[in-house]
Amino acid sequence: MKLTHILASAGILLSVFADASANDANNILQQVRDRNDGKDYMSTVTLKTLSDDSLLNQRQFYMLQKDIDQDEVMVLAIKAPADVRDISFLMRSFDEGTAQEDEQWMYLPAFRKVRRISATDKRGAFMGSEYSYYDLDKLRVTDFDSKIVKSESVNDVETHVIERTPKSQDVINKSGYYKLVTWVDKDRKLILKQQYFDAKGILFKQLNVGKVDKIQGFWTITASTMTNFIENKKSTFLFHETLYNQGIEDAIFRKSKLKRGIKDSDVAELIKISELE
Amino acid sequence: MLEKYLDFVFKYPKSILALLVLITAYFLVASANLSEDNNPYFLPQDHPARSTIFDLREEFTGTYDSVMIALHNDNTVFNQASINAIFDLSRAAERMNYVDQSDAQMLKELQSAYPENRQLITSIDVILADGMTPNDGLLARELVSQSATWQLTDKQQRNLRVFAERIDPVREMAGLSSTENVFLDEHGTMFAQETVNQRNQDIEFVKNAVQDNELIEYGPISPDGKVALIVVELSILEDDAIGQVRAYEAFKQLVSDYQEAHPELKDDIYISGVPVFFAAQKQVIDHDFATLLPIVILLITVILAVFFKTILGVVIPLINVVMCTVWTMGMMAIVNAPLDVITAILPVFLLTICLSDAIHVMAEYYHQKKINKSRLVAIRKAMILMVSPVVLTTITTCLTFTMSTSSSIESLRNFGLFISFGMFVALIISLLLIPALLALFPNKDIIATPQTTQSSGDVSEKYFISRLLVRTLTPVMANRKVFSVVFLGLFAGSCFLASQVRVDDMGSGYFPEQSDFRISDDFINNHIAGTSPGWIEVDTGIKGGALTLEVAHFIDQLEQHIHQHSTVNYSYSLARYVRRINYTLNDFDPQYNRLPNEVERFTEIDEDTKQTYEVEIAGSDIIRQSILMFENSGGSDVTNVLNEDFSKTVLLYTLGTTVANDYQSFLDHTLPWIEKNKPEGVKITHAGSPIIWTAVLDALVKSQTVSASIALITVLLVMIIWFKSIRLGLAGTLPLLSTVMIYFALMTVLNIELNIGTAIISFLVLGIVDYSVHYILRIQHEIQNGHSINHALLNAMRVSGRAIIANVLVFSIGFIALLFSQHKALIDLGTLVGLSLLISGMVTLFVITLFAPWFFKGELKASESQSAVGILTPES
Repeated sequence: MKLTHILASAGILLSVFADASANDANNILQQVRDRNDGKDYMSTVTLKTLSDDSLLNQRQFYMLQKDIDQDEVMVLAIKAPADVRDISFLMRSFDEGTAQEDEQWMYLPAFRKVRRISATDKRGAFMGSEYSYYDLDKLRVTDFDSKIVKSESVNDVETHVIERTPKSQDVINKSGYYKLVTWVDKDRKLILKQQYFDAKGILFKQLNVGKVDKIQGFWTITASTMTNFIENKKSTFLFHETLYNQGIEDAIFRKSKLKRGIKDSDVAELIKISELE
Repeated sequence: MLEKYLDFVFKYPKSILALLVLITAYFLVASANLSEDNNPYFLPQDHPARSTIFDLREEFTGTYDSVMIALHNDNTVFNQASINAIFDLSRAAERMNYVDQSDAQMLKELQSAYPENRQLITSIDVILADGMTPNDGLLARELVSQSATWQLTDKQQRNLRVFAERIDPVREMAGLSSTENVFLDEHGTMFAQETVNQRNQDIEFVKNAVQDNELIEYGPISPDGKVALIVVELSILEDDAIGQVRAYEAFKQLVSDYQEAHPELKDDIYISGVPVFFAAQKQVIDHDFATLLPIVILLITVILAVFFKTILGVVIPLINVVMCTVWTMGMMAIVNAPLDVITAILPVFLLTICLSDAIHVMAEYYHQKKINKSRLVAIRKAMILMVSPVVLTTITTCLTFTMSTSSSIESLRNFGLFISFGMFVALIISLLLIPALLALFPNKDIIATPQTTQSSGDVSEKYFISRLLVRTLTPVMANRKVFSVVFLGLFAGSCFLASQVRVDDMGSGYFPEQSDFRISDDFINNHIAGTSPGWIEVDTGIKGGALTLEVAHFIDQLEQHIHQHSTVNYSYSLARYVRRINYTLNDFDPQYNRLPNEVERFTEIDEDTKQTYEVEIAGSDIIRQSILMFENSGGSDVTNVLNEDFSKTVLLYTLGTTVANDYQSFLDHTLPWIEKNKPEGVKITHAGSPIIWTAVLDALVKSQTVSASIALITVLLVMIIWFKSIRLGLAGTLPLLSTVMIYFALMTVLNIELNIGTAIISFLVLGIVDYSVHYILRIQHEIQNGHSINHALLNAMRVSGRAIIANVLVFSIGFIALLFSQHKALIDLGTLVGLSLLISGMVTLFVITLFAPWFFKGELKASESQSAVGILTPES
């Protein structure tokens, strides 16, 4: 997998050290996008949403991703709670240069069909959390006009602060954001913090990366929080059992496999194969 | 005592006048801080009918009052210009705020007032730095939450609250460019997004998205496709009159600028909604304040000039009422009582009603002066004669008006309290001002009237009014039995008709038919969603309980039930959304255009083996996963119908009416059904226009009945105590009771509804005891002078009757000013109040004259025995 899925703004990003000598915002963001994050990746994710510090809901799912040719594909398969178990998503992001629209597919067991969902609008709340589908997307450099506004330290880490404004209404429609301010780790090329502004210019959401670990040689964000200031809610992603380069088969990422879903046994099998190797 | 008071006044007239002027100046300065509350709800914020909506706002979005912009195209709004306008206007409205330099000034003054408070100063600097944008809303709200701990004054805290909502006022949007829609394109790709999310959106795409779509029909678009609606929810405080008007003006400007910049747009555009109603009401108050006061002053000046024909006769009563009005307005400002649509007419009432004392005193003064007395003697005599009745009448009137505080309607309560205050200070002022001014200035006759040496009765005989009264009432004295029967018949008939009076509130119907607001309101009510929102909350008390099949089906049936009522134009609910998802994700198979059953059975084909197999899916899973789709679809529409932990759900509906009786009819249709069909253990809460307005009317009827009864008893008791006679107490009260009954009967006959405005009149009628008191006292006086009852009546009607008629004319003509109001309720009020006071004056003269032999039986006996004693004594 050449390109990393930053999960991003959500902070679910992997990383390796990369050279960031260029001081140009787009170059920096391109380096974030192009970081080497292995050939594939899998993790068990806990997503908690809290309102005024009381737990609203907690969901668990498997996240698998892989680079197939120039594209990046990702499957999310819900494990718990029971009423949403086996819901699964398949997302395919094409190389930014192709200008091809992303693809999203969803399987809802209660409706028995794998349904394609328009990817022109990704503002929806992912599993009812404060993360939108757009926040899970791979960082898109060319959709925004970006400029470095200053350097700043985030938790004692030096970052570039980059202001980004959407280039078109399409981007606004897709993201729901009218401005982003992004804090990029100068060394590790990770997004450590991001602020989101709405149509009224109001700062309504903020992403904070809580924890970064080095797993199998890749810098990996293992905890991040999205805070919604308007609704006074926050959602936290916690990544467990993260593994890189497990040799996940392409077949797992086929639309036809979505209905079957990702079972615990599939994951166990993947881990076992990896251990044998 | 009285003599001492008069000596004092005559000794220090200048000092007394200076003191009055100083006090007036103080209240005038205070009145500059008079606040305004143009929310039309009339109930206090903690009244259950109002507080429920505040509770709902804690948990649900979509619960604020909305401005509605309706685009109407005679052919169809599915054209590029209209669709672009919907997109552009929605985006522009979303970014609006309603702050200006006066808000910036307020913030700077706050900084100056608390130079030690670094946080306050820094926060305000940040807000002002970028020119006050909605982005400063969060910071402003933080300031509001901290302002209490900083010990800011109440006014400063309120100013901050008002500012925080003005700077970031838009809470939610709805419409083709804002409401989340769920639809499939021709390839089966599902869209969960705003229908029009960009300029030049493909028209066929839009049509496909809204066709046969119950999420959209009657809400963002009318079924015939000719009207589209943009809904902008605003959190501007209900009592922020200026903010509401700024919002209304900003929307009008937005639309007019857009139309000017886009001549290709041929649509008619209408703006309405609750905040617009508030703003239009505020504009009415401003208009009334600016126009009614000069008109009423002009009218009473003319009447006083005609009646007294002297400069002092005009100037003294005028100064008296202007002073008492200023004092009252100042006192309202001091105790933070706002000027609302009811209290805004207080000045008109004060200027007219408070004239009464001055007119009686001045009339008596001129009367005494004409019977050949010197000026100071005439003043002294007039004051001695008039102090007792004016004090009695004023105290009784004040008590009666204060009785209106038993009402739960805050606006009426304030009206009653402050009109009492006004009348009381008018009394004090008149008792000081009139003798002081008369002692200082010579009488300035407009038309010189020669003094005579005639008796009181002879002088009165010269007046046309006196002669007319004598001519009119003489047949009553001559045929008491016949007139008693006529009166009793009329009274019984009036009581019956009064019981039939219609209680209602016409909402926007009170605005002139051709006013922009009325036209827009009627249009939206008749063509699309409607301007009166209501909410029904279902609280299961269990986390996730709102997503059970039982609750979903209950909501679904409730929604179908409310749509059977003719006023319901639109609704939005959890059930509606689930039904739409079920229908959409089953590829628009008509058999799935419904909520799921407990278990749904399907036949599936195994893709590998191609064999069929049966699948059973729990209906609750279908609901849960539909809601997940709802959450995933972006925006915050899910929080419009579900709270955070899904224990509660809300059904939103809009009614195409603003008439209170329509609301009542809707509730009569809905509430029993809910009671019968609601799932066990759930709690139902109602909020919105229907609940508030029916509660207002309910409170009105209750307060009207209770307050009127208490007021009547009060009047009776005061009269009995004052006159030391039950009969005379009844003589003073019966005309008032008769007038109230005739007044309500007239309302029934003229089909004028009892509303918050017309309710005031019954208090007024009961409170105006002047006529009967003055008439009774004069009759008593004449009887004590040895006259027979009929002779006493003739003399009394010549002197007091004339003053009563003058009062009636002043009141009636003074209230004609209300006919120049822009609010139909006030125009009705003007008509009715003039009419009722006219009736009150005539009924008083008629009833007391009719039953005088019975009412004054005690006085007559005492007079007879005195005469007998006089005859029998050796000196005689």
